[in-house]
Amino acid sequence: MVGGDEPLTAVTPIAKGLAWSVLAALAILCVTPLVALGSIAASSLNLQEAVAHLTDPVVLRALRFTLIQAGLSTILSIALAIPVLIALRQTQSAGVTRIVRSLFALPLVLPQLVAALAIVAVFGQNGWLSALMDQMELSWPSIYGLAGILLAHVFFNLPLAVRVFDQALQSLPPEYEKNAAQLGMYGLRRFMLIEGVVIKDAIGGVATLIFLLCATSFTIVLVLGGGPRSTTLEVAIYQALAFDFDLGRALFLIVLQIVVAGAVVLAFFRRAHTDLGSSGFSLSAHVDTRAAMAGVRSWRPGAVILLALGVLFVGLPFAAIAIDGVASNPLTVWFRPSVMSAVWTSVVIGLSSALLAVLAATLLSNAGSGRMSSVLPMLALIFPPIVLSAGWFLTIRQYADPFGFAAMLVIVINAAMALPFVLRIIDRAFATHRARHSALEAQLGMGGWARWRLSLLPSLRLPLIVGFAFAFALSLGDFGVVALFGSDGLQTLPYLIYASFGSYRTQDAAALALLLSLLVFLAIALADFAARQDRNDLGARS
Amino acid sequence: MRIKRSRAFGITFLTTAVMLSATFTPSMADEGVLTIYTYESFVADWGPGPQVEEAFEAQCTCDVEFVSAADGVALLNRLRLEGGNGRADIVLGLDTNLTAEATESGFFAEHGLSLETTTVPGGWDDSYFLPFDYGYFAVIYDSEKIAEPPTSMADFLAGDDAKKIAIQDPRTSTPGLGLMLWIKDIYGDDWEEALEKLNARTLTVTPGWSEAYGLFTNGEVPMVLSYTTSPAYHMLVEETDRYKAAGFVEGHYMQIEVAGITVKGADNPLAKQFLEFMVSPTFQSIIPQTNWMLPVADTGNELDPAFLQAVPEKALLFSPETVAENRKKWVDEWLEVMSR
Repeated sequence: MVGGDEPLTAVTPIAKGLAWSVLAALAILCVTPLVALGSIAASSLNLQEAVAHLTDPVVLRALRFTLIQAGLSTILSIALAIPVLIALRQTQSAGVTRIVRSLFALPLVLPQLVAALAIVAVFGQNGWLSALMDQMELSWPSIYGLAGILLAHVFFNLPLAVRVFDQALQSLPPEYEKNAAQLGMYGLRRFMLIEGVVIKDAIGGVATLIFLLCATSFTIVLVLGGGPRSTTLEVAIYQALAFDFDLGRALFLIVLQIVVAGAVVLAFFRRAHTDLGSSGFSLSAHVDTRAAMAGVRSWRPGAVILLALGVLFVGLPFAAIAIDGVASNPLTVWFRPSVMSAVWTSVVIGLSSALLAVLAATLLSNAGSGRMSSVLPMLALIFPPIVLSAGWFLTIRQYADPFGFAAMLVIVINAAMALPFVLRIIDRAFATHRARHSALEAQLGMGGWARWRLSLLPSLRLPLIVGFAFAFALSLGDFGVVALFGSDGLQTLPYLIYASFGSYRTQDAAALALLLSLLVFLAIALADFAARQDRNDLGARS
Repeated sequence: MRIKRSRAFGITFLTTAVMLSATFTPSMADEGVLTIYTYESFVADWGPGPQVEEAFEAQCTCDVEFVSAADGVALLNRLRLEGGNGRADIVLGLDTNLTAEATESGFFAEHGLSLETTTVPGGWDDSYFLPFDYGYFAVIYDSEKIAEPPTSMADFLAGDDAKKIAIQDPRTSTPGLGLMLWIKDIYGDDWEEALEKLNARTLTVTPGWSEAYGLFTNGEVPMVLSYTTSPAYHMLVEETDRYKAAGFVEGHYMQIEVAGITVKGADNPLAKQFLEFMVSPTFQSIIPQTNWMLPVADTGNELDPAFLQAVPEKALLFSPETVAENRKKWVDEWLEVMSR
């Protein structure tokens, strides 16, 4: 389980056992549905058919397109995230930083339908930019096709990359920055020597996450792809399972997706993953770098422009959502009983799955950040929600009424989907803590609950809060799982948004999309606030 | 029902044990309960479900329980996953593209009802399923952007490529399948050229109706594939006649939505009673302004003229068997041309 460095205190067998239990539970969650579907499809499963699927031009084209668009999306998202990140790090204003961080947590949480329409409102052929270009008598290119897919995927994932890198950089000790300043290192050179090292280390994990998210993208690919030219495996799986009810083909495609995506992930990860635990970065020592650095760093015009571009790119679609939302009498919509009840349902599901995700991530991180515990949770993202829900439906109904378990299943699946994100956020903090404090813990003979209460939790509060908020937000925006499990009684906010869209009620949908965005913004801002309090506490103590 | 469940949710969150015990609590005795599987927009607050439930419960002194799936296709899949051992007495919301497979599945019993009251164009003679509403697919256009709407499919396909349409994918969406069948019905074996033209006219192909219609109402495309009844929503609810349906001389392809009694439901006298209620004026008068489709029987009063825009003289429809036999092949052909 443990990566490159052995901490001074060995990971206890209990910790190891707990981590393995989490992984086992995850494996059960993902594999059971395949077995269930397989047992139904068993009669129609044979090698000949599998070979036929594999040589099917439709499948091959979908596979190729999936890999190309996901690969390009990943490269673009990360390449564009880094300049924005550098600009963000140069910002002196804490207010700006906070707003950017909250804003950048939003895109991933938007239901795909809402995001697609918001992107089109800004970048589409009759969007804002097109209108602007018209005024300048320039023509605006069509986004439909690969360009549109990449645009949308960068919109979702650039902010994600910035946030994860930013979180990783929080672990830089202030001495580095002071020394760099004393040595007169600024701008790109300083970045390459200091932040660059941390980013290089984090890049594998982030790239893997983004690749998987893009590879399994569905609505965005169809809407902005312009037509069936742009078909991913996920679309083919949906078609086989939902429309043709061809379980044999569906299973084959899922396995193909798992094998191909899994291979890419492993290749990515082997190259990029190195354990940073030994470098001994301390989170708690990072008390107030920005204040310490004030006056040393200058707020450069290049950075201002870069950050502004990044914020505009991510912010404009939200401005479209806000304008539409405000124009559709949001207050009368928000206080309808059905909406209040959906908000309550969403919040309860969100809190439950965030709790579960943070717990699982903590147990995994506590046992060391090995390859297994980093890669396996990500693989869960490859399983299409429709497969998980159909498979679990089949499994549960042998013993009980599956609808009674819908809520529980939605919570567990949402937690599993959020786990890789939470891991990205807290894993490093654990490694840092272990490297810095395990010797002291061992000297003091601190173990078990005392270690958690006195040593681990206080110094990990910040990343845990951030991870919790992120998981909560992700779950709040989830539609896939809820929708496909069939839903009487499980009406979440995204569910209501889709239902409104599906019944001509685009105005209601606009008001609800605004509400969802505000809730997520609030949750992330609150977490940021709590984290800041935490930092102040630490500052006062030291 | 729905609100009760979401309250039960707090309990779920607090302890799994309570959840488990709640799950195993024996449900109400089957007597006096009618379980209807239907699609989600039917049971939405603004859909027909709540009014239908109230009206039927008033006359049957029973409890109507709706269980919802995403759409008609998901309904049939739910039955297949349940292998015929589900709770449904009635399944409401399949359409004629699905009835052949549904009948073949063996999950349904004959309804044994007279078909005289149904007035669906082209007549009705299915002994397993009874229609509850229908609609015609149509190209809906934004009259602020299109001054001269197409008057035929040929006209539309040959139209200005700068004024594009958003359509749906026949692999994932019922209207998408409808458009494909519409073109197939008009052009038969020579439909390749028509599909090529359609490809040139298309801005994008969305997975479902909602995405395409969203692109239309937010101004990204001036045309969308929907139903002749869509303008009625905008006229009666939003009080605007900006969005109109284009009538095509070749005729319009139909979608007929049906309900059937399951094998389990055949033992429940309420099921047959409900289907009779379904074609009565009470139920039929609820349909137009909640489901935004056309009624299949007398509603007891005049239908609002908003619903009659572009209603064609000729209704097009393949038999369920033809669709079941050819759907896969036709979708592959569609896919091949539209992927160029």
